[in-house]
Amino acid sequence: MSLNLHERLSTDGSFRLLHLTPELLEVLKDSNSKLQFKAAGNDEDDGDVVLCSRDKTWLLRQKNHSNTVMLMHEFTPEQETSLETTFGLPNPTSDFAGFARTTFEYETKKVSGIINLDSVPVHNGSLDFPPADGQDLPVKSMDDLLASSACSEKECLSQWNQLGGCTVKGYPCILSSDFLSKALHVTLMSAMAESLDFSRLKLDETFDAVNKDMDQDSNPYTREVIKTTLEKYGKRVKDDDDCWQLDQKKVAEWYGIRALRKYASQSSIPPAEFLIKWKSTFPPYAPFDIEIEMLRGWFFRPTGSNLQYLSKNTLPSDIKERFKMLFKLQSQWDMDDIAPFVEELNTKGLKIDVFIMKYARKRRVGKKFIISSR
Amino acid sequence: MPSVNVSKRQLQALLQSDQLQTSVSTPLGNMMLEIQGDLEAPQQWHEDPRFSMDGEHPLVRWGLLHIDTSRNNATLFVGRKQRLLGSLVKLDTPLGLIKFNQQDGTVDMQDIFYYKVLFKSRPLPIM
Repeated sequence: MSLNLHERLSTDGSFRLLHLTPELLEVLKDSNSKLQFKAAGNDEDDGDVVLCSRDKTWLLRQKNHSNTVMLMHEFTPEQETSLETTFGLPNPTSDFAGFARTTFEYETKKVSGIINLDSVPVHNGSLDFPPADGQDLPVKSMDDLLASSACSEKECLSQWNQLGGCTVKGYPCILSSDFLSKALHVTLMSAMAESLDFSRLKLDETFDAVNKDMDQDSNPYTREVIKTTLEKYGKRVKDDDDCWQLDQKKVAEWYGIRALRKYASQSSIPPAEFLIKWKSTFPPYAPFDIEIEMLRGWFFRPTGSNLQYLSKNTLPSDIKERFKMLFKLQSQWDMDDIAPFVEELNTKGLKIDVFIMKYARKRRVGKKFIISSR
Repeated sequence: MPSVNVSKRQLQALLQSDQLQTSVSTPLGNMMLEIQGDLEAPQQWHEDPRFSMDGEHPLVRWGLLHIDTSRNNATLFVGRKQRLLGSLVKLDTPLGLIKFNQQDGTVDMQDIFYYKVLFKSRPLPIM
């Protein structure tokens, strides 16, 4: 098969080549799917560009090359021109014209999309939210938030629920940690008072229970706030969109972290004493099981057994520095205690013990592995 | 944050039919040709049999491509003096052809390339 090759004297610079991974091809084949390019950051920034489907996000990287890549399309010439020679080959059967040349391709790498909370206000339960009726807020709706986040719609909403995102009078906001704790506490007490089933908490019933004896004019626990509480501390029941199963372990952890912060920030506390204090923070008769292991990643043991609050956010983000700091706080760690403090830095996905051994020493004592500095 | 939907309207029939590219050109009549080096074609119109029109676009004929479909070998004659030996290769990752329309701000996915004609050796003289 022989082909005549031509090229336009002025080529079109608006064509690009995009790597289509099997997942992207699946999205393209689905007639109901949509794909969208989004540029992270503001117009002035040259931030990353991502490609989003409804539930996945791909990061685009420009891969330059110095080859001649010509994109051509078949066409029928207006007049037949005979060739001087075909170099002994059969006569050409068709003609192709180069309409564009490219000097790069866009590589696509699947990433976890990240919601953009830069301009989302924190709501602490005050009744005058949003200030100035929201006129000064840059993010005025969930659509604005979706448009400003370099991630897919599903990833955005999932992260939103886990971060305690809420809409108050239509304006998106993040509920403050204190307000969220109060809302959870009130929800638990009201649900227990009304003998509601923690495995099937309906939004309407829970909202009515919380609002039973409240003065409606000064009540910050709106339907949206209760919904956010259920989303954060529960899972939607599969057969009912308006019904949540409370995640009791998650609730207990939340209370535990707050108890650690309250009772063990300045000085360490014996585990038995902490368990009593932790239990005392729950609403009376709350049926939650607690154990110290649930709070791994939130405490260290400066004197061998006593617990003291430690937040990952206060540790260095450099791997070596983080290990150095951890061993400064505590010379020997139980493998299970140290792992949650460093696993977020294991970006290559190594087995956690292999990863830790790159920066520390591991030895076996009985059935446990003890980690110490090199 | 600026964002734009990728239209795949032009591709829909192709995607639904499972009619993928199996040879040098796609079912929509596009072809991707890569030369590991520079290709210099005339940029100005001359009164010469090599120049013609494709609708409103002036063209220059610069080469002759021969594909041996049984062995996927390709031979490219550039002008009257150079010859390149190459092959028809399947792409590890298919490439989507996207057009960014500057005027109306839309983006169209127009085709998918599964193969390209690749020339990665030095040109040989035509004796």
